[in-house]
Amino acid sequence: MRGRDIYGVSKDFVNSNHGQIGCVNCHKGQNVDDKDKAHKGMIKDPSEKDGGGVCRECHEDITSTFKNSMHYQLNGIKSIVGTIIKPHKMGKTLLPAAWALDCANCHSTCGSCHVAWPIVAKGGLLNRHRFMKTPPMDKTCYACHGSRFAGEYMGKLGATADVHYEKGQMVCTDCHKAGELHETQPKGADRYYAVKTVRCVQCHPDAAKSGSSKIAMHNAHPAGTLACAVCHANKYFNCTDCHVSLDFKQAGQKPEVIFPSNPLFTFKIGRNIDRSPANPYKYNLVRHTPALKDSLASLRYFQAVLKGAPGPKDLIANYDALPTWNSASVHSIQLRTPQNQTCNSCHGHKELFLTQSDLTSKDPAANEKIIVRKIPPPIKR
Amino acid sequence: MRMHVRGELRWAIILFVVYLFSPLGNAAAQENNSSSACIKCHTDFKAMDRYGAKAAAGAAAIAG
Repeated sequence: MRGRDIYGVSKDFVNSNHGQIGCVNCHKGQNVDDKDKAHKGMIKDPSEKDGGGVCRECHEDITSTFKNSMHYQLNGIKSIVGTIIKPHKMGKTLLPAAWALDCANCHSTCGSCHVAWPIVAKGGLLNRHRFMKTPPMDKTCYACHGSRFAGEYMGKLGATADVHYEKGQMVCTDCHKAGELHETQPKGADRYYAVKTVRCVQCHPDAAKSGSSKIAMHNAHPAGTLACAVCHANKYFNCTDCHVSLDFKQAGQKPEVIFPSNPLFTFKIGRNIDRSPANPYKYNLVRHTPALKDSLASLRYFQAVLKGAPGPKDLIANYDALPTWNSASVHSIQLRTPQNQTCNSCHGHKELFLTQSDLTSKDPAANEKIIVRKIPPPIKR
Repeated sequence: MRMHVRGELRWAIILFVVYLFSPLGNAAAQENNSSSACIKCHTDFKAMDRYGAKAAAGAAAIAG
């Protein structure tokens, strides 16, 4: 079995519109038989530069917005890192190098969705260089979002798959249209504040009409109180990958694995501190982000080795500013869930809510803003 | 003398035009923008395997 084709190009691609442009016109290099000469100066992903590369020549309408989009810029990660390291400046640390080595693997280009597997999935062609107008969900979206949204959605993380996938056979782009994926509005917004995103009420307008809904439980909760997922999501995964690192501070010391998302599966209702007109709910589901105050401590020592002088002692100096329990866009939606069976399936159930007892002494102060202080009491009949 | 130069110039132009429209000239012009060598190799899987393509394909995996 060949596995994934990295370099093989189908003959029918050669005759397609994109194929007729000619390899060297996009990838550069030279049209000669000698392999080394042919690949000299070759550009692996000609769509990468400035969020469009050569694609811009014909698809300016898309690349003009994509270059500023969350998918290309990873706005959220940048603003979070910039905030928690204040007053340090990223440029004076190893963070830009760490970004290039690690975080940037999830930044996407035209090619890493429409032609090849994303870098984080080790690249390779999706379909022998045929251009896929709609990227295949299981190879592209899942490659970057596999440990949460896409993995939950397809039931690949050990919990129930999402009803939209299981029964509706819907793919990511059925909800997340190209316009949302290629453009982030307002410019530079992270995902909590982006307005061009899909909302449940767009397909389920009746469900949200608190007070006049056919569903008693929808009428019982005032509008803007609960995000849809609070009642309709099943258990979901805490973050596990990106922030997990080996921590060692001295030569010869056995590295310690920083892995603070425990347990991996969770279900916690927390207060929504990212409220906006598009996301007005007081309560939302929250997911744990595995980060501790010394999560990036190793960089100080790497910097000493690589740059001749150690980095800041307290790289995450502003650790308390941001919570490590964050609003979650849970993708394990079902009509019926354990918490929506009856009123008292949720009311009075402290374990469903993020409370003081879920926090540890190592948590940032900002987590205090997320915890629910008053658990809704059981409903007496 | 002037007639001689004019004659040579005329011949040079004629030869250039003939070269441009001949199969030889056509091939050279096409080769500049062509990707025939790239396509020849990248659509021949057995040829690429000799350079390690099969091993690279087997090593690729999803990160998750």
